[in-house]
Amino acid sequence: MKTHNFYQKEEKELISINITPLIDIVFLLLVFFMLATSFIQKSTIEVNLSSGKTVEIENQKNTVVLILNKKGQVYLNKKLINISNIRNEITNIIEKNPKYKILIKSHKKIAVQKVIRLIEEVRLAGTDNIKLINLEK
Amino acid sequence: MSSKKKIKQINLIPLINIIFLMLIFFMLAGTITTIDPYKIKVPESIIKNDPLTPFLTIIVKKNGEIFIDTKNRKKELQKKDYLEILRARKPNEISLKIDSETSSEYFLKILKILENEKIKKVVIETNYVKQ
Repeated sequence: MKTHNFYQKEEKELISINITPLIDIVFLLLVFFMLATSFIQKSTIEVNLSSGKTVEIENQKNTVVLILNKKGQVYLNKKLINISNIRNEITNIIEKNPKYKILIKSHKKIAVQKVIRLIEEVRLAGTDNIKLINLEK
Repeated sequence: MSSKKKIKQINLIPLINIIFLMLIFFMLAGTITTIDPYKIKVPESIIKNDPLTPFLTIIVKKNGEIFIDTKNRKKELQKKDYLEILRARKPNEISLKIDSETSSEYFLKILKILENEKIKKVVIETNYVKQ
C-alpha cells in the first residue's frame, strides 16, 4: 500500500524549468540588435586623383567634356543630354576609341550627389579615365 | 489541499519561438553600425563595391567644415591642421565621408589637396541603392 501511495504522489509533481530569465536575456538581445543594426548596404566609389593639367586635357582631341550646370542639366560635348542616356552615349564613344578621356565640369554649387551619379554613369559605360573640375563661371 | 490547487500558466513557448526567430533575423540580416556624431548623409550609389576599412577618414560636412577621424573629432580643422595630420600619418589610402548635399566646390578642393599630398587612393563612402 505504501509503495502505491508513493507513486501516486510523484505523478502529481510537475518539474518545470523557470524560463523567465532566459526570456529576459533574449528580449534584451533582441532590443539591442533592433536598435544597433542597420539594413543600409554600404558601398564605396573610388576617385581618380589623376595628375595632369586640366587645360592640357581639355585641349586634347580625345577628350569628352561633360558639363553639369547649376540646374543639374548635363551637356555632352555642349549638347544637352538626359542623364539616363549618358551611359549609352559614352559607351558608343569608347567603342570607337578606348583612349578617350572624360572631363567632368561641374558647377561649384551643385551637390556632390549629382557629381557622383555622373561619375558612376561614366564608370558603367566602361571607362575609368575621368577628370573632375569645377566650371569657371 | 494546497497540492490539489491548479496553477494557471500562460504558455510562453510560442512567444519565445517568435522572439528567437526575430533575434536570429536581426543578427544575420543587419549590420551593426556606429553612431555618427557628424550626422552626415552620404551620397547614394548605384554601383555596389565592398566597403573598405581605410587608415584615415576625412569628414566633410554640408557647409564645407572638415574633420579628420581622430580623438579630437568634434573640433573643426583648418587647412594647416589637416595638412599636418596628413603629412604626419602619410596614408596611402583615404576614405572621404562627404555629405551628399555638399557643394562640389568643397569636394573638388579636398580632392586637389589630396592630389597635392600624393595620396594614392581616395574612396568616397556611399550607400548602395538598387536601381
